[in-house]
Amino acid sequence: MKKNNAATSFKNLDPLLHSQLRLAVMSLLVSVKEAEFLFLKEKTNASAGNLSVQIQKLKDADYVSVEKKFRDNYSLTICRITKKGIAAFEEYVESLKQYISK
Amino acid sequence: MEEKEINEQESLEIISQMIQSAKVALSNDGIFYLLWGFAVFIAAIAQFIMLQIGISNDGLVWPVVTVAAGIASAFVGRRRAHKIRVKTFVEEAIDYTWMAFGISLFIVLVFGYRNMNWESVYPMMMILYGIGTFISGGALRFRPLKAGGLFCWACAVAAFFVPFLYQLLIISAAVLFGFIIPGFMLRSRYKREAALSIS
Repeated sequence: MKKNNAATSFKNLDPLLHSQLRLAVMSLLVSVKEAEFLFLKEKTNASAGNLSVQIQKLKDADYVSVEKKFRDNYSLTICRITKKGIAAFEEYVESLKQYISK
Repeated sequence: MEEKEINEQESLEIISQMIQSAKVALSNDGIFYLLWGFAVFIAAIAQFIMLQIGISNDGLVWPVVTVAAGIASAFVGRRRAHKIRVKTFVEEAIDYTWMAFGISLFIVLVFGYRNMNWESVYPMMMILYGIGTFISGGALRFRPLKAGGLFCWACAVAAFFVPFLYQLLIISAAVLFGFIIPGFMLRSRYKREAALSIS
């Protein structure tokens, strides 16, 4: 029975979220309405290139939306979590809870 | 952070660490409350003293203090806009609250300072309607409600200029466009989203 639970809940962990940097980004975005790229970079300590790639993956899955704005002469990238992303994150947390509390 | 494999325990740690650091990022340091609080405090006390002592032009304290605090606010705001910030739901709701306050204050000062009687109360109520609907519309991210709030304020201004009898018509227009129609639209949005979540 234990083995069965482990197998099923492990399968349920969204591979898109079950990765260090992507999970960190989603956790940050779940807490704030919108965050600038530089904010995410500062909090996750990721490289700009790697962060870009992971955000793109999340965007492709429609978990986050990305908007480019301009402030003075700087271009700004603003990330927001989507409803789908929130749902996926919540599901991930649920699976985590099931897996850990056994 | 690299792309290494994580286990479930690490997942939880990542989530809670990130949520914690996001919390720190969004604490409000209260500068604007201090700035404006002191400004109004000083103006009120100053005018009191001036009236007691008999200095004329006591009313000038208000424009002077408001302009000074306004300039200071603009400076502080501009400097902070350059730093990296996040905007949370709470901050957004607070922004809407102060926007509503500012607009209401303007209406009261410009149109409402005349005799206070029943004829002044109905417009005041419409100012309050506007506050409620505008902030709710902002917090719900629902434009019809926000627009309804603006319309209530416009009605309030209009109502200051008409006799009591016609204010009643203005009030019904205010709630029609500020409450009833947005209410219907909110309901249909709700039904739409409920249907989506089932499928």
